[in-house]
Amino acid sequence: MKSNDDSFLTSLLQYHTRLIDQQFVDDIINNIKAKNKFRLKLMVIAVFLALAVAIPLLISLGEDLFFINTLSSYSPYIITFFLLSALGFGTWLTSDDF
Amino acid sequence: MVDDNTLIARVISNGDQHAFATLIKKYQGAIRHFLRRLTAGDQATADDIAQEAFLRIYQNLDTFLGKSAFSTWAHKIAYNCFLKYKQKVYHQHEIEGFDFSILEAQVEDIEKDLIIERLMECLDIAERTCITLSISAGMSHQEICVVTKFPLGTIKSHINRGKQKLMDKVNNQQPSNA
Repeated sequence: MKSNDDSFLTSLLQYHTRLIDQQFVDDIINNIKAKNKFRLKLMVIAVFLALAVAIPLLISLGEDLFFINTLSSYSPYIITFFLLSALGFGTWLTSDDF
Repeated sequence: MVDDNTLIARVISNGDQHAFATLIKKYQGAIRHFLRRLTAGDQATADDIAQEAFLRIYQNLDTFLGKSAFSTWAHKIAYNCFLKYKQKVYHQHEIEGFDFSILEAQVEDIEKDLIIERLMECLDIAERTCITLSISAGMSHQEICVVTKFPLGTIKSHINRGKQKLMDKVNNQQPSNA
């Protein structure tokens, strides 16, 4: 073996085998399906939660703005915390990395 | 054979998983080999990172602008996944008493790949990356620049230094003929 033989190194470093594995492909596709399913479930839960909050709110709007009055009685820190939590959840749900 | 852009368009517009499976089939060899070289033969870890890379490719496919070849873009994501893994887990082994004289013999291709993957341990990560992308994956220095974000001069020096280290390692491990 010649130490200065560049072509030797070049041929040595080639990929010598072809990695083709159907199981590898299936695992990724199944992973994608599972993530999509999980995302869909969370979306459904989020919609139900939104409806659960929105319906009483709409009802209370007709009753002397009961919800607004109740909300204003809470500490602004609690309101800010819940708003930020909801905003964070929404951002996470719609992010590309999710 | 359907070209990459058509497959990508199908995945983005319809979420076509068959089209994405075709893309995986086409590029799994290059990406898995690349990661096996980067992990210096830790095949299980390399395949885990490759799976993560393909998931990221799927999630970010709509951000692929076609400025570089799909292969280059896929390698870039795989490289970033490897760096992320490396930040979490760091281990460096030294190869001891490995008989590289076997390379002169007519060994099976699969065995050759295993030896080269182990041989990568004598290089640092940047050298492994540049050497593999340049020599094994056949990328131009410009394409390596896209994948690694290294300046061109740095890429050239990583390749030259890596080559020298590999040749030294192979020659030092040679049994003397005397």
